[in-house]
Amino acid sequence: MIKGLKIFGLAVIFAGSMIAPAAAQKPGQGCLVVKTVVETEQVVVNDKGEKTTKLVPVAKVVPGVQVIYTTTASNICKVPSDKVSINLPVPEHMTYVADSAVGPGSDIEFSVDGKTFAAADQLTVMENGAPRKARADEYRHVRWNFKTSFAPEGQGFGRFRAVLN
Amino acid sequence: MKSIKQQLRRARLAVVALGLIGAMPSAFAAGTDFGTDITNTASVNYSVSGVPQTAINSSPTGNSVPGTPGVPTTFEVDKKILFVAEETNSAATVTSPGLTQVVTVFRVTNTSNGAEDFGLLADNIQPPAIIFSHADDFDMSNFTYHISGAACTTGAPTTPAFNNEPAVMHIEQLAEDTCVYVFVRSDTPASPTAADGLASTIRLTVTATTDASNGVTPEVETAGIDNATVVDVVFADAGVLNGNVVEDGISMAFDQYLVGTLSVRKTAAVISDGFSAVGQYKAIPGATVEYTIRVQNNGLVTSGAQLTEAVPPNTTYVTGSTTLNGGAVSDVSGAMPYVTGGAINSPAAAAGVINPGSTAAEVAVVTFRVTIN
Repeated sequence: MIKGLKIFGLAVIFAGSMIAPAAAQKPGQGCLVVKTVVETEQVVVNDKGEKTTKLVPVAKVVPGVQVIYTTTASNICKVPSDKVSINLPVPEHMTYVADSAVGPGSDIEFSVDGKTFAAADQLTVMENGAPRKARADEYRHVRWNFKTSFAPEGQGFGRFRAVLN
Repeated sequence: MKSIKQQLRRARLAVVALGLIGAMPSAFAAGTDFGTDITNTASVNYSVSGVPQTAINSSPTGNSVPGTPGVPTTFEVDKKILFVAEETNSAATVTSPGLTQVVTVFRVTNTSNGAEDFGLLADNIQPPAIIFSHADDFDMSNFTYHISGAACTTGAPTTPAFNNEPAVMHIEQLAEDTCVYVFVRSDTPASPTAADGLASTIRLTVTATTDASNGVTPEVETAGIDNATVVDVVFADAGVLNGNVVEDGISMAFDQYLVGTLSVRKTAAVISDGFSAVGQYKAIPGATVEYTIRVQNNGLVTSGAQLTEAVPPNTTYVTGSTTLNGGAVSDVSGAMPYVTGGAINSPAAAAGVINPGSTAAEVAVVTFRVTIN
């Protein structure tokens, strides 16, 4: 019986630890590889004259130019990652382009102050003592809350467009 | 923490990127200064088996080490060169034959996203369109350039006076969202190349030039490859009037010199013939003829104006009949005073001074009478 108690105790300690289980890749590594890129759209015309767009690294960004930020999280563990939430700010000197945030499988929220997050039509700011709906050009943070787990080797991404002031 | 700039692959000039103009806050007329680094880092929270994990911050290539700052994703703001040269008062500058270093005024406004040098060059090229309703009749020479010390505000331009500012060849580091007035001075050719009513149109070409080249080396738009460690250059000038080409880093403006001199008009009227009724006088022997000479100044205020006028052959001068602007002018040795030359002037002006203008207040009017022999 003492043996059984010990085992139980070990399991409790294990579940309460903040360290990822032994399924992590290496000591000190988490379960997600997180990458953020900034790109711009390029129109490509093929031999038939059909136009498609592709994302390419930014070239000559001057005031007025629009760029596309994409953060990708990829699961490198052998266990699922749950409740993945990507938080990507709108940088200083840039303005968020309304309705441009996308992230398949996620609920998207925005914040002006970095503390209060809400969906686009629910985020409010105070003006002259009264609350009003926040405008897209006031957003300073975008957050994607993924609704399902990332399976091992699975990934998800969040993306938005912003214009350089 | 030092930012590490992204190493970027060769990319074709993304002209389409320039077309994706989003809403720009109007407070930033020129925009974010070139050379500014724009950095961004994402942070990702997640759980494993319901246990919240330490957040992981992003890097441009991918970071999986939790609890570290990650590496910011960065790009540098490039140089957007946008400026305009304009003539200031929508009118020609009056000059006279042989007058040197006559001033015309231009304004140069820099709305690039940073300070910029500008080279200055004036020439006599024929304008692509008529300027100020005058054809380009002759050339000016000896162009010099001076930057006005007068305050310059964007908005409707003014025309400050030249104040002996030193001659320069370029504008050094004109700050973003500011302007300066530029004086172009040049010499008027002598008469008859420059004659009353003729005009000379000049062109000022303002070119964005590299800092430290003192107006000599034009900025060059960076082709294709984005260099992550150097501020690239984009031309955004949009003017198309009078031969200007968009996005070439050059702005041209035209101004004009208009020659004004004295113009003389002489008329004669028979005022009596001893026989006919009023208004039906004939030019017969014994008739009295009154000559009226009007001298008008179409140019700059004149001093030392002298009229020399002969008494016509086959007539006899009526002594004491000469007037200037309605006042009597004494005969000289019994002869018409202007035969040997005499000063004339606008009414109420000093002797020899004719003020510019065509009204009775400026025009000098001389009359004298003769009888037909």
